[in-house]
Amino acid sequence: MKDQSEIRPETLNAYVDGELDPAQAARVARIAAGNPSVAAQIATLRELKAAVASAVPDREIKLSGGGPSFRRIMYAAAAVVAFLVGGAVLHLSTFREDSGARWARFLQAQHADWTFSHGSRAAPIAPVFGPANLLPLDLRSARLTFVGSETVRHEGRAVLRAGYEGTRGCRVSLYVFDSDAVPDTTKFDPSLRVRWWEIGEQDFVLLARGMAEARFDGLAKAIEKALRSGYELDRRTRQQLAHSRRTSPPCRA
Amino acid sequence: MFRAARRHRLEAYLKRLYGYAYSLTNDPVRSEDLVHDTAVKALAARRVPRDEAAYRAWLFKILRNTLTDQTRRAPPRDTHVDTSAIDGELGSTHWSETQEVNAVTVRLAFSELPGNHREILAAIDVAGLTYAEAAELFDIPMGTVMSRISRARSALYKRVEETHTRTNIRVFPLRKRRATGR
Repeated sequence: MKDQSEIRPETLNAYVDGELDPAQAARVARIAAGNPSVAAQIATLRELKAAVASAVPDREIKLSGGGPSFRRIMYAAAAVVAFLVGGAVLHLSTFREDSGARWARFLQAQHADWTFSHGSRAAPIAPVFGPANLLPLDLRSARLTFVGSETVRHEGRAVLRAGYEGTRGCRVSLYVFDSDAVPDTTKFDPSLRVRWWEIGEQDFVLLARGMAEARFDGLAKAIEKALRSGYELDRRTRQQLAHSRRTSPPCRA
Repeated sequence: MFRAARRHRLEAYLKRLYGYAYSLTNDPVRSEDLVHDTAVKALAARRVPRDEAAYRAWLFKILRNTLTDQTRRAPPRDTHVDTSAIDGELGSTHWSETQEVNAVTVRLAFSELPGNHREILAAIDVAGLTYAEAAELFDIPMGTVMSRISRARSALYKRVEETHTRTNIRVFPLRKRRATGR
């Protein structure tokens, strides 16, 4: 029986990719059948391949128009219309405030529209850069289960949302995005708990409806600390979150 | 009629083109733009390969060249890293029989790979190109495609291991939602 060392890595990868001729493929298959180590390597390569293939979000792309990038034309046209309709001068602080309010309204609406359907498997989080690459954070110590993620767009920016659910009605959204505008936290519904912070170029917003204030504060601090440090919640923090959950009333939906 | 046939032929590849662009840019908006720009160029071309495999490679080459042109004008966020020294170490990858390959971890690790590794994986695993088509796309011999994909997957595997260690997070497997009301 030929051992693993006689199969070059390139050959194993080509086998997984279906690039070997039938005779070569049959040889590899015979070796794998008699060598668990080779078989395990092939299985791992297949899993890596499948995981990479599924790393891209599913997206329906349609051709529209026949000229230069349709999106750029639309953006340019929208910019011209906005200039003509909005007046010649926009005060910078006014612009920021409006944008912040728009972000607040958007995030709030997204949170209310709880798209993580009952019974479905939690969708994976597409690769992100920066501190957010720790997502999804493990919040089970706070009795919050990760139920899914989605990527949406707002004002040309990609917004990642991770959703968590508790056992007593709590729903928590953690948003990650990169924006020049700061969401205006005063524009959120008073029943929503809101926390915003930024780490480097990324903005984070944590939203929860009806959660006890102290519990939400502790949760927000713990999440922010984890993302800033690059490490999961430490034991002490997990204990604190668990205690806070035990001593807090259920979330009011 | 002729133009409609061209569009129809092209539309069959839009999703794969998007996947390839997204793998390289991780930007959905930019990826859409790249696909649209690629489509415009492809539809405007005077000569189009008849052979389907050649046509496929040609489309991806247009997209790749478009991205390269954009990158030259505006340097990317992740700088291309010379991996020749690193690659030399990968020949002795220890493939653990028990290392869990978690899809989410792989995606995280994939996003952290150097550009050249991401690119070959994007071509083969995301865009679904054959080795021959990838060789055409990158203008390299097929043997080079084979060695590159092997090194890229080895690098990816090592990153997966590092992700487990560095973040100290066991990125738990996906699980179903529990029934509410408890």
